[in-house]
Amino acid sequence: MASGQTPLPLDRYRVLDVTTEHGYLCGRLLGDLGADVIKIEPPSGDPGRRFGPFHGDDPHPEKSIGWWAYNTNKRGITLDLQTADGQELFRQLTLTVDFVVESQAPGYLEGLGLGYADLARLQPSLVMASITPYGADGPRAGFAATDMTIVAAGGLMHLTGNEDRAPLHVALPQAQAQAGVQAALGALVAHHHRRMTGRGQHVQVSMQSAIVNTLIDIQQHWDIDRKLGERGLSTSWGPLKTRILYPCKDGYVTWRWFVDRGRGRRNKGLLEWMREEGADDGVADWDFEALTLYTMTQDQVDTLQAAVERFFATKTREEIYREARARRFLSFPVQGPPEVFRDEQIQSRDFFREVEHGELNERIVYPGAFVKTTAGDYGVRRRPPLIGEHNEEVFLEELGLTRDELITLREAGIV
Amino acid sequence: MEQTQREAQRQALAGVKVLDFSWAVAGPMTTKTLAVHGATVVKVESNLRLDGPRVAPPFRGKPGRNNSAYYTDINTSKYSITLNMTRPEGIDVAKRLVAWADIVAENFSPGVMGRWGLAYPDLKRIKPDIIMISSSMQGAAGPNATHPGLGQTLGALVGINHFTGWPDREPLGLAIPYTDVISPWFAATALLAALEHRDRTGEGQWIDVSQFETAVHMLAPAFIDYAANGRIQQRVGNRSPYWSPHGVYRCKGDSPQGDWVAIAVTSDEEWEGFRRAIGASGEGWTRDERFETTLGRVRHAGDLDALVEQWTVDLTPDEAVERLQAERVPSSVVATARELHADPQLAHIGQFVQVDHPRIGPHAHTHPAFWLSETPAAFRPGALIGEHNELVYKTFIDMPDDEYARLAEDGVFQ
Repeated sequence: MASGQTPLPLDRYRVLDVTTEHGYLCGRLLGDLGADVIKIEPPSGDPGRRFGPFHGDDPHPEKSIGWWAYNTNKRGITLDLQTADGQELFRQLTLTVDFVVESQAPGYLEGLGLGYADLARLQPSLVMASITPYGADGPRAGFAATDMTIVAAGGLMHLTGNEDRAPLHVALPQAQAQAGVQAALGALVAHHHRRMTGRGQHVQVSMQSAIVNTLIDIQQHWDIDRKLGERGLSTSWGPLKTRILYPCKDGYVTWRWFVDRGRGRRNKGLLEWMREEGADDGVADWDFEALTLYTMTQDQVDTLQAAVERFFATKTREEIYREARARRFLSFPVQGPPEVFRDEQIQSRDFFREVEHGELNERIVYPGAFVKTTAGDYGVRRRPPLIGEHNEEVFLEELGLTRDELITLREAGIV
Repeated sequence: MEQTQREAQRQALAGVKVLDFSWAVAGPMTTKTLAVHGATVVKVESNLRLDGPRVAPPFRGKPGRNNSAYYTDINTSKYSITLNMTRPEGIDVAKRLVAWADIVAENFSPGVMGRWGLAYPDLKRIKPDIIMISSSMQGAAGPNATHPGLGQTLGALVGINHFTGWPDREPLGLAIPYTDVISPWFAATALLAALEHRDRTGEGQWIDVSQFETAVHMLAPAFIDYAANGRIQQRVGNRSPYWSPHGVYRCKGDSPQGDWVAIAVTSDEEWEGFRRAIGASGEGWTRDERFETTLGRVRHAGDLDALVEQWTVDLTPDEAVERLQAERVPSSVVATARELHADPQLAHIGQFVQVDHPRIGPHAHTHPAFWLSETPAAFRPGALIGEHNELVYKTFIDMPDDEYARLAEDGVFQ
């Protein structure tokens, strides 16, 4: 699994991870980079373990696939932060770590005396990352939110969907994964500064902002021209309406046409294929390099797209992708999970990896390293922890509690 | 300049030097994050082949190469030089810049850097501890590595389309080039880890970012579900398998594509809150026994959605959200860019930073989603093309004046 030889870049650092589902990915990425990440869960287990799908469709907290996906490369302990003992142990743990990452409700940790100001007094070089739906304070900081409502608030949803129906979300949460990545990045920017100066700081992450950051030029179009984006199968490209999704014989593919000098030749591969099969309706003769978005007419766009639509309807996804690669035109098949696992590029890069789940006597397949690098392997080294799996390791061996003390804490329901 | 250099000294990434060949979106967004936190990012451009966003709208005034607000936002706080890489002298200058840099960033099609003699092994010969990052559609190696694509269409390959749409309609995907905009956060994270690795071991490295692979992480649970359980999750509109009401509902308003509110009721407590929020207008149906339990609400989600919309359609999104949030029901206006720019919360956290650009004037730049308490991000206007040729060539790499004049005269800095 892990290369085992090259030291990982963060392998001398430790992270306390107090995230909810809004921030799991942050700690996981720091763990992928080699940090020792200790996930703290309530004694009953992280509430995020309640979410499906479940392994074998068994709704058991140790079998939540949603939880697994973003909690690999972490150790796990339990601790009730509502109790004085829990808070004291948290403070002791803080003295042993370099990072704290959390996504509790705004003000929750401060209320327990475990906010950034409290922890930084104990550990001035601490880097702490806090993920919240809207920010730590401000007029909407207290808004009740889910991933979908945050994607709506961040502006991505209004643009997504069919024009005759309501705006759409992705079937899987997106704001939380994005905020998790941004939190890991922010923590490492702060960490770089700490390496240079010895000083820690607080990193505040807004999930709504993570969504705003996906919009690239959308906010600029409003800011400069008071123009709003549109949703639908066809959307505006300059003065023209264009589409990129086409049905084919066994599913859908994407393709986009180009104009302008240089770029116009990107259409050639497809149009020549269509001509060879007598299906180009004359469009293969058009000089796309001489056209621009402002000289091409909507009638021309419609003629071109209609010819391509008729042609794709006679081909399978596999046929189109094979020819797209051979003839270098810009088309991709719409793939679901089975096709992604079969995808020859993904397979050739050995991306998905099996990880031993000893408790199930099974190997589970996970997405692999988030980047490839010549300096090591950032893939999964450790399956997600069971509830309290590392309590003894952390509390006895590393914090120096006695076994009797641990038993006392257990009986009191604190760990 | 002195003022900004002093500011940069206080910033988190002061002293980190980036030679940035990246263009379009994914590469420049990666180096933007470094630049606004104080790294010295030198963007290599050419008037002979312009970076797409330089000539992409929106422009202030007549379209040109120095007044695209799209370009300035994703290239804020960087230095711009022009260099003609079709000339051997241009490549020679590029190699001197490599010797200056800690990081070389690029997102060309795999193979382009190699044709210039600037593949990782070449860079390593020039500077043994160089960190190189290459970002591409599907990774630097593999059978489809050089197949051309766009962030807007690549989402199809990854499953973004498969999972986004109505069950009875097309797999629409997202309206933005999703893989372009999420891969930069992973890429920049890997760069910071690489700096640490270099400082500790003296070794550089080559980082190979596949937009395909980073995007798979955004959908990870569905892939694990398929591998472990054989289940192929499908697009579901806005429904949740566990909760109802859960969706987007039409409101009163005059926006061209409708005014909408997103509502997610995720517990019995929130259902009680929802009942209180809608008050008298829900008397009757909210007490329908089919909707008493979570199971009942999920089973009858279609009927419930229609009834919820009967309530929202007489309210503006803001009015609906105000009532729902007063009862702690997760909900939001479905914002357009107009609402984002008027959003008091985004204003409070400083989401849009006004930067005064010499050609565009003051306009909004997008702050990354994280804010640092001690070393805040700082934004300088996106550079005019070639604006920093003298500074970079003469000061950063100590090119003698006469050589600079000769190369400029000879078209090497085109």
